[in-house]
Amino acid sequence: MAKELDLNERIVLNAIFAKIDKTAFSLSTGMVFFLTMFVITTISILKNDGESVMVGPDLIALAYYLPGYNLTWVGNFLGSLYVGIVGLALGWFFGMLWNLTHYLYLAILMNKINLFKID
Amino acid sequence: MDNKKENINSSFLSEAIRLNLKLLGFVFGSVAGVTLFLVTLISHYMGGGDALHLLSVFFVGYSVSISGAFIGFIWAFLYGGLLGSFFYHTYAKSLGSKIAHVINDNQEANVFTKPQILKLESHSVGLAVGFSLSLLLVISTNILVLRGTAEESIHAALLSFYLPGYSVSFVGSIIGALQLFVIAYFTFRVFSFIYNKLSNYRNNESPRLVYYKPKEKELEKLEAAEHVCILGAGPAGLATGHELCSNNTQVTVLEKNDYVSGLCRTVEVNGYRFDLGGHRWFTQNEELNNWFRRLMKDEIVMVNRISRIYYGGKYFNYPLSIKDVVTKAGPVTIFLAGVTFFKALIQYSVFDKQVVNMKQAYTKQFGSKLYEMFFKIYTEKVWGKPCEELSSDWVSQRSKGLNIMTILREAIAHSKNRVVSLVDEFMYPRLGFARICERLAEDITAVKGNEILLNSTVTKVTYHGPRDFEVEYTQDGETVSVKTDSVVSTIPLGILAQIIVPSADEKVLAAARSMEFRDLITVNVMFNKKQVSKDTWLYLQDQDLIFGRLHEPKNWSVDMVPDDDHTSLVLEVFCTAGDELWSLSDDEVAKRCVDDLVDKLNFVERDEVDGWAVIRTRQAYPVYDLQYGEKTKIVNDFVEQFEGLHIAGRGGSFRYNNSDHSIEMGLMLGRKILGYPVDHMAVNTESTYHEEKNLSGPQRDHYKSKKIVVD
Repeated sequence: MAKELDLNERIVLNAIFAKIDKTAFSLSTGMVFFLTMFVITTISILKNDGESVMVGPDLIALAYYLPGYNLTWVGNFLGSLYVGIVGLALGWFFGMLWNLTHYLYLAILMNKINLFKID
Repeated sequence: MDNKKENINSSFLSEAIRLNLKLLGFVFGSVAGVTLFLVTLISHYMGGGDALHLLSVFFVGYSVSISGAFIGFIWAFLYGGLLGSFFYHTYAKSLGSKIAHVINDNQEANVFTKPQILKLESHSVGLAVGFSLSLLLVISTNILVLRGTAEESIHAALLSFYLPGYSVSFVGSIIGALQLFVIAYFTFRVFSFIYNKLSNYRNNESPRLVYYKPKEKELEKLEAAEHVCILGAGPAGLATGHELCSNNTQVTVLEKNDYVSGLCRTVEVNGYRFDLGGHRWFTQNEELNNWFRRLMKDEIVMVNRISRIYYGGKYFNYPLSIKDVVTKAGPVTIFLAGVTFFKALIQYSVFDKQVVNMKQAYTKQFGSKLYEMFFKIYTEKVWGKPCEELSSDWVSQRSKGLNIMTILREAIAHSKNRVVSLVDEFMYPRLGFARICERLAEDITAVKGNEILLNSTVTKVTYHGPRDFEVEYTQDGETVSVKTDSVVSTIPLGILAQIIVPSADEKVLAAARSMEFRDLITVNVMFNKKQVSKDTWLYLQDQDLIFGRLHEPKNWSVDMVPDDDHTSLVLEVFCTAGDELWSLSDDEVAKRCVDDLVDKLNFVERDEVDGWAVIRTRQAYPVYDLQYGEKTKIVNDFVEQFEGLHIAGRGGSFRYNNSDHSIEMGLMLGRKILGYPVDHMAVNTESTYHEEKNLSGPQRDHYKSKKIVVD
């Protein structure tokens, strides 16, 4: 007879198999991506005084992926917005994969051990 | 609660973390792989991959090309996976026994059907991301140093623009890593803060993180009864009576049949004994098991469970095993099963598709192909309705016993106490399941003043006031009445509602009349043969067979047959009184069963048949149609208003109880009537699994009844 779970084991399992709130995760990733990109570009704009010429071209290479992005305030906002959207998508994808992986693990386990009683 | 926090089993926690570490590694790897794959393809078709190409320094074989995208995917998956695992390892180490912080456990939880919403512990997340990114920077920088290209690494050197002091050198990498750690730490504390706030808001929860708190319920405490009239001598009624008379409360049990045990009846014909369907004793409640052992003493035999499903001319082990399905079902079926399983996962897990009916409930768990193979036909045979017209509650009630938490613990901790033991072996009374009820009845009638009146059909329950009832019944054509202060009804709930005086209004009566039951014809076919099968149950997923399930009583207990040269098969024909199957004569039903056994299943030869016995049982299964919840509530609300009237059992509560549930419910009801604050209706419901260890006072796991005192 398997031992009944004690309270703390339940806590651990509940925590380990907790589900990510995809929307919240997606929004927060989007926000952090937006802010990070905005801060990085802002630093580049502020420091790009001619002596740090190397930085601009590398960062500007992102314009290939983010049309309209450049080292100006408008470009900064636009680029940060793009990156924020990418963050939204990545966050959602991450959350979805996390939940799916855990659900899949449980489902396989359930099928494998299968105590699904019909008798 | 703080003590409990400190007492978390560290080895179990480590195993659980190790599992999550692997899963998170997979998720991180996938996200990184897919991202690089897409970015590489975009760069390949749109240009601008010069900077991206630099990754080939770390990813051998990578280039901004189509083949490079695939190579990049593999590398990014590996590196991402490692990074993810490192991240989670750090996070979990930092979190340690504070793991209870990451859930908001003011909700009822079931990891499978209703998982908790994850909370992020911001300090630990900050530490984990900070460490991971810093480590990544140190390693990648020093790879450049070691390969001797530090001077040429102008792109890497540009990081000093954001991380002052950083350079492509060992010292530079440490300085850069320290700064990166600080930035990442605070950034991801902000990230965690935002996520927790948003998820709290979205899930309408208090933002405060709380520890696991079991649901608390204010339980009713009754004034102890002096005399209780019990309607029905099935397992629930007799268990209530047993508990009451064990504690000196007088009981009168009224039973319409000429035997006790109700649906758990064991019939004996020519030395062959058989149950109506084959009931096993199985419960995860060890206290209840102890109670059972005390009751049955040396009458118990242990039975190995071997169940199979017959489908498409093949036999599949039940519980389903992946290996068995793979080897027997064929590649096309396996492919379809896989596709539909994943489709169901996405529909129900990712898009949270609502589960209303039985088909959806099965599909969610197994996918549509496996549902059609292994559940559809049998389920529809049992209920006589399409799965779309039946409530998903039945599936969830049956699967509740899974106790996925226990399974997970076993799976994660690789315990030697294998969970399969829970289902691979069960207890059974040597002379048939009815012996349990007979034992209860023996104990009840052994006490002076208690009565079990057979052939007594209850016709009226009159309520004169709180705890003042008169129960009218007919016996040998005469109407008799008994006055009592409490009534326990295990007769079908719908019938009870129709015989209560004062009468219910039309709405209640209409609901009561519409509470459907499914009936059962049990055919015991006897054979001049030692053994037919090895199964304890065989489920038949075949529309052409008249029966839906069979079992061989001899496989359960050798005392179920007259001698070792004979055996029998019990075949269950699910039907509804008045339908085509029910209208067949006993011999017609039996002959069709024999024909199926001989011609379709090739189990036996016709000349091996030694005879048959046919038993018809009314109201065997409460039908969970899509409106059953509403109907049950209407009738329950009506019944609950009569102080001193209680319901229990499968028919009595209109709940698909197993025999152990009914007995447990009966025992708890007995305790309740004795004045203990227990909730007998919590049996066979989801919440019981959270309450059982935490309620104070006598609860469902307290059956330490006093010994029966015989005057």
